[in-house]
Amino acid sequence: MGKSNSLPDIVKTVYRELFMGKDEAFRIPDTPAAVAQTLITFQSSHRPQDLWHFVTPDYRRTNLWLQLKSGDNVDMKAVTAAVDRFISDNPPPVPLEHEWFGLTYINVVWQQKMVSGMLRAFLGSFLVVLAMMAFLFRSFWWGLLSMVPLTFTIAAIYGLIGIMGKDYDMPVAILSSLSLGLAIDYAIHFLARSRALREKHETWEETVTAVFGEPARCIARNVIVIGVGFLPLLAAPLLPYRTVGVFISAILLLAGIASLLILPALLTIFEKKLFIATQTPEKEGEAI
Amino acid sequence: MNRLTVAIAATLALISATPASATEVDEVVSRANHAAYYQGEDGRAKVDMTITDNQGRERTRQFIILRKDADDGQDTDQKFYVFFRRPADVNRTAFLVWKRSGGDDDRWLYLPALDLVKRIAASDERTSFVGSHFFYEDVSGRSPDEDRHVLEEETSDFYVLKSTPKDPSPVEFASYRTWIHRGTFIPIKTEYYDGAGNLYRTYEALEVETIGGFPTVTRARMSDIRTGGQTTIEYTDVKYDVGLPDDLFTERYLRNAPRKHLR
Repeated sequence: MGKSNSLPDIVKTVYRELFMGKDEAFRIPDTPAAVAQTLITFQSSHRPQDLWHFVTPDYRRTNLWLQLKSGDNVDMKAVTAAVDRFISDNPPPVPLEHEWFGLTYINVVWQQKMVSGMLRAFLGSFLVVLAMMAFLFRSFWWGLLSMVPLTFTIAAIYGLIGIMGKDYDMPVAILSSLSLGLAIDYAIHFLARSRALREKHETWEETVTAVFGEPARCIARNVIVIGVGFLPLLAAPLLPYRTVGVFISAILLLAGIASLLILPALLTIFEKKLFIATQTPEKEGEAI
Repeated sequence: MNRLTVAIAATLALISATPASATEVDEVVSRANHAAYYQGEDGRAKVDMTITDNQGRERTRQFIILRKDADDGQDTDQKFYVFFRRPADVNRTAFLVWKRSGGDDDRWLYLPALDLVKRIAASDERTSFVGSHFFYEDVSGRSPDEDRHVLEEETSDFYVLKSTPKDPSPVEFASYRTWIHRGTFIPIKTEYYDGAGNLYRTYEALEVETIGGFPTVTRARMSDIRTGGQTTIEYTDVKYDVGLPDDLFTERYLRNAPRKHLR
């Protein structure tokens, strides 16, 4: 914290000047009338309206200006907490309400709203994408399956951030929503092509070879191209840009790996359940 | 010219004492100065002042003002005594001003709650009078010698003067225009212009009555166009030639208010 400024500072300064600038006079005078008279002296000046920066004309609301040495949200929160603690430990003689204002404080509130907003948005998007995937594949289980890579990616990213000790702040919130979009891409591609190719082959085992021919190679190349494409951000002068570069590349890599390794594994394990509707025509005929 | 000013002019035309013919600028200026600040040998008034800011928030002040002219038969030195009544917190706060036509005024302030008489530097006349939009100079009067005056226009009701300061550095205006009523020589309106030629401040006399034979402004307003605030002053219980003693306007009476004259 640096300096602070408020109505008492004005009163004390005027009072001191009225008493020839003596240091002992830098105090609040003893009666309300004395305070009023120092203020009327203050107002007999070029800019009497400056007083209203510190108090309202009905004297019911006043400002306390606090100058912080840094604009960091962490510091702002610390100041807010310290002042709130002081007020609760030392209740004022008259019940007072206080509110915070100022650009630094607004940043804190904004970040808080932004982060909680993005979290809600992310969860909402998750459900919407799940519903859309279920609709796309005409199957709840396929829909759920398509959410696996992105769940894995985001869990891994959050885990990484947690291990690194970073807070869930604005860049992270944005990255989560981005991951959702990036990862679902690969899942849709892989699963759609898997289903399509499965119809052309007798077993899933055979399908896998085909899938890892063209579609998987596509996905792999996509991961490499875009992942590498974001790497120049690592050369950026500002840390947030470098963070974004690292994380997006990581997201792409993890999503790619999840799509290409976890999905086929799950498809293999749950082959019977997932591929009920896509039996080859011969097999269907047999059932009848 | 707005309706209000015309109405004032009409009222004044009815109460004006002598018809005026076209006179030299200096004559107009000196008669206006006299009408505004030097009527009678002395005077007193109760003043209610409402200060409104650009958000419409109001504060009020109430004081008694006593004035005595110097005994030289000319419009030169004066003494003013201002005694505050309201708000209650500033009750008994008092100002004393010795206006000197030659040089700087002498000014004292008494703060009763601190029991402190303070001599105030009076070289800057254009600071706010107790937080209002009137300056000290508006209250005590600006000497006509400090500006060059030109008669810009003559209408049937008014002389319109344009004045520019001889020394522009201590003042914030570049020029001002005054509308002076022809019959009574009361300044009805003053417009202040800044260096860029913009109107930034206006004084208007809102009501004029004849009291004790003298045309007296009983309501006036100073508006700050730039900040959007204004101060309205109402004069009541106005008396002239009360017979105020000279020694009333001394430091002693700052501390001990002369109750007799402040009723």
